[in-house]
Amino acid sequence: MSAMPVIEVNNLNISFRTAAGIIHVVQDVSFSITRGECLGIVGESGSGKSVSALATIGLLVKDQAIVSGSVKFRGEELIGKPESYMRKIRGGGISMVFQEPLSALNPVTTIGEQIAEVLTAHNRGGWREANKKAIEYLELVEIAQPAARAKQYPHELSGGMRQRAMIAMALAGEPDLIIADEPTTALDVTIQAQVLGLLRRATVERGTALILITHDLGVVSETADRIAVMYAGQIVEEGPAQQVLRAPAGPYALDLVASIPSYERRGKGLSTIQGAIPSPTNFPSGCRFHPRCRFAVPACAATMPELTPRGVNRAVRCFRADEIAKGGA
Amino acid sequence: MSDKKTTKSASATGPLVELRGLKKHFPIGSAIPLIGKRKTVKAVDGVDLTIARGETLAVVGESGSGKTTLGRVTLGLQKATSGEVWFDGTKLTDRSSEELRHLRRRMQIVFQDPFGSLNPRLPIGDQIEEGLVAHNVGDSASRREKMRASLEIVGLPAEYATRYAHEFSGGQRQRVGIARALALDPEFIVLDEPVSALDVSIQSQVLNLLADLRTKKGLTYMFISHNLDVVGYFADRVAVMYLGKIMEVGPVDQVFTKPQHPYTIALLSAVPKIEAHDSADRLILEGEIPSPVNPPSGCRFRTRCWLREQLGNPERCSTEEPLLAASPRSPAVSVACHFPLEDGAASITKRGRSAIAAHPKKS
Repeated sequence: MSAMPVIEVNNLNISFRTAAGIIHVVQDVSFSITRGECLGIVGESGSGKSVSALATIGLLVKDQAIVSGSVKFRGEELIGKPESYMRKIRGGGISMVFQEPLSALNPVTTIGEQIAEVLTAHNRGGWREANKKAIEYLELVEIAQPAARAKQYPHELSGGMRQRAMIAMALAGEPDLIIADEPTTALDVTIQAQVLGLLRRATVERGTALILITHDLGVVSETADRIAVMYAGQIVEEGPAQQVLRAPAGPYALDLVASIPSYERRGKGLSTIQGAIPSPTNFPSGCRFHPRCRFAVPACAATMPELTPRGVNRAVRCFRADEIAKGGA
Repeated sequence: MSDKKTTKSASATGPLVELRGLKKHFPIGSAIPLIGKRKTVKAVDGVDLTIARGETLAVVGESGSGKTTLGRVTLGLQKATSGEVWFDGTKLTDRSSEELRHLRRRMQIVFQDPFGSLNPRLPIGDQIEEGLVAHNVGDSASRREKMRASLEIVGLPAEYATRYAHEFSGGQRQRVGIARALALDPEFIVLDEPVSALDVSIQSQVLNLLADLRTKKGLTYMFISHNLDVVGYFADRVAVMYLGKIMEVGPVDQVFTKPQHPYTIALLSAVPKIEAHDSADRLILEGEIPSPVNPPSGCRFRTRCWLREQLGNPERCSTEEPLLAASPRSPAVSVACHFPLEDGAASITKRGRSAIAAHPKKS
């Protein structure tokens, strides 16, 4: 395959018009993904990870959101394209899997019909054939008795089963990119393991690119090839998943990883990040993490650091990365 | 109190909390006789547990395992269908709610959702004082003092007392919930998923606070959680629940390193980890937790049990319910399985599991 990225996002900026004025929620986000690759976007609430994904597929309300920058999908610019065009892209080229399948699925249509609808919408045969194919897709996502399940409504299925149905629907559009926003957050750990395995297998086998948005560092570590860590609307660190998580270069990722409790850390005390996550209405000046950062120096409050390449395939947004790498402040 | 029956029969060395054969069944379906069949959800279906003074017992399980109901029935917030709850030598399950009021002061709860569990229209200081008023503690001035002290001990300035819930972040709200529980000087607190709704960087702050309070005030916790990482870090003992019953219970350092029940092994194996490991080792359970209306016969885990399959589906698993019994190898651990694993740690890897299949243990 060519090395052309499936999706290439450059300098994405997102602002919202609100009664209190314009709020800048995402600033200068860039990333690209090739076929079969999984990019994990990690961040806490308010980091801008979901909004970035919604903007990518044109799902933000036009009157409220101001989106600038470039989103190239299969080499074609999506920003500024009319809604009719974006509608074609969604489901056909890019599919989305949401956290809460019960609110994302149509409650009054059987899941078989919902999958068939995707198939017919993209001109893959008539209804009869689509219904038959829908069952095949349910089988693909390892739903037992797919023919019987196809005739059921979303409320008749368990949470894990609904999420599988959503993935079946996402795959039915034969997309080049799937964006999964916290796809397993509402699921139990044993079901989460099933669904993540399924999502990864389905994308690798088909060469589909996958964006996995999550707050769970364990989930990205096991699923993603590369990760981008977001904080307060910006990417603060990126690189190969295992490298970033095992040896974070920036202070936020470093302390975030250290604050995850585990049996191994038992009795050792847990690192914390002081303070609270800032709201987009008052992001701090300079580096947005500086008020909570234990490495911060006066310069951090004055100037915003750029996302700077560091080593092979890695980048970090921090003035003090060298000192942090040396293990001191 | 004046009630002679409440005399403390247990010495101060006995367990603070003891559950004996505790059941909570919820009727569902038609309540009209002859129309439709009355069914029961067996949310908690025969639980025996003890919690020692100063101990943190974690209750882990998937949704539908009955862990939240167990916490509520323990506190008497929901009435048990049968079985007994003992608190500090007093049997709670046959007391009137008036008699329970005195004991309630010593038992508190912190809820998962810091957004839903606070009153949006009342300053948080008033909400903390509400409990003191309900229990007739002190006069107005001393209650005010107590409220301010509770806020300070959870790391919030006492001046925040006049603020409303919406003025706080998620982590701060959870601190308010903890302050509200602490105001009454309880000995026992049920923590129902206390950090699940919080961001990672905030979660560690609250966990450290809870650990700090545990030491300072000698608190006893029932820590209800679905998050095994948090439990492994925080609890002294852990009880693994599945469909209303305890599958395995014991000290965390034994259950996490040498799990014996195949369900415990599967749960531990399913937790996504940052540390690299061979993904082929991952033990993925098939299917989902069955309905608590109609739990499987015999062992209720058998429909998803990977070990039963490897042992060639022994009949015993479907005919005879395994009882929770002390393990001969490590008596501090109790397991409800006909074929408990001698080296559960090995079965976390794929190679270990094939070895079990090659040499099934006779029982």
